Amino acid sequence: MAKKTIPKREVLEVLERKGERVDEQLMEAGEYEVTPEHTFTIDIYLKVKSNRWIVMEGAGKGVVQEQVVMRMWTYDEMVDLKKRATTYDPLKRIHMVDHDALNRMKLQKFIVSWTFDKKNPRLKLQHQNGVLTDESWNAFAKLQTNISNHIIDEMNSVYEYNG
Amino acid sequence: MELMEAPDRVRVRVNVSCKWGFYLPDKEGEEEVEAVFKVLTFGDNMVIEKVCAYRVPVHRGQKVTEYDIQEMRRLFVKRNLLSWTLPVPVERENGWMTKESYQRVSRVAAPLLDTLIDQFEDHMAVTKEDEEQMSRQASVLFSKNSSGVTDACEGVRLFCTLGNFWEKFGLDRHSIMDLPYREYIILKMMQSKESESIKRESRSNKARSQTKIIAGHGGRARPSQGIVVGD
Repeated sequence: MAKKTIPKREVLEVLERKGERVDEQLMEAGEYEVTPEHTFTIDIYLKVKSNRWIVMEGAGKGVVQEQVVMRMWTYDEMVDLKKRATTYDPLKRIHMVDHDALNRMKLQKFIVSWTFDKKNPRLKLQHQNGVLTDESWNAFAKLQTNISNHIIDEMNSVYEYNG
Repeated sequence: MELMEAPDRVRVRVNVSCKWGFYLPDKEGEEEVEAVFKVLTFGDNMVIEKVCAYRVPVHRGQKVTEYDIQEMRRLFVKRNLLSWTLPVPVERENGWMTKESYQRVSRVAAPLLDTLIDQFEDHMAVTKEDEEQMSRQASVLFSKNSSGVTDACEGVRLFCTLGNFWEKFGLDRHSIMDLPYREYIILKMMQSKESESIKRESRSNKARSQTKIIAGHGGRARPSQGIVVGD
């Protein structure tokens, strides 16, 4: 069956009737705008020593390389997450950011994929509505602390300290 | 120069470089992003505070007003960002960024927009150094026998100039801006002459008794003799 082509004018009229902005619908994201394709990769170099994994500075003999892919956060996402992680202490009259909660939300929302699941299927990441499932979060929590801390540090070096 | 051209605008610049395909602030970056903000006015701040205020319970069921600082920063973007060199259009209506425009603006990489807002906030910050200088000069200015402050800081200058001009001539912060500079200088000179004369008078009055003498010195007070007008 031949695909029916809707004339552009009709599309515009429908969009206008719906109250949606035509330019918003037709204009693609430009430079500087974050899209799902805007990701960065965290490299993790690991080596087994005394039956535990230690994080190395770079590649070398017996060093395994793993990668975590994360998406860049938009300004609006940053404000929303920081708002959720900020509490107010009325006695001290100060705002406090719970950095552990903020890091957790960043990881849950922005981890796209990682290579840890290649050798260990129990560490497979799954998303629902753009957020890591609870099982996947538990997978992250199962990582050795030095590895998870390294991921958090590298992640924040991009999000908070511009890479 | 920028301040002369548009004193109600704040122009901030951030160097950026492209990493992983998107732009992040980078002091060494070769590209530059420039943003123009409207100066935050008292009115802007009042509106923003009103929107961001919420009540927090404290001791013994009492409540205090607190402000959502993250939301305040977001509202700075909506209220004060006028334009920038990014290819993301900024559209405004009734003094605010339009909803559609904000949807696109807010998709900019967070570190970049955050740095621009940081710099905008720096422009309105009163530093600790400013505050210390103000305290020092205020203690001199408001002391009992003060004769003014030399090399007045911005706070003292604004306070004295606006206070005096309002009191004497009814000129407020906006109307004083349109006053011809020559007239401003002349009025300032007259003000200093007036304060000198008040000081002189108070000095000469100090030694005297507080009781005022109604009659002239040296003679007995007597009734007027009147003038006889001929027929």
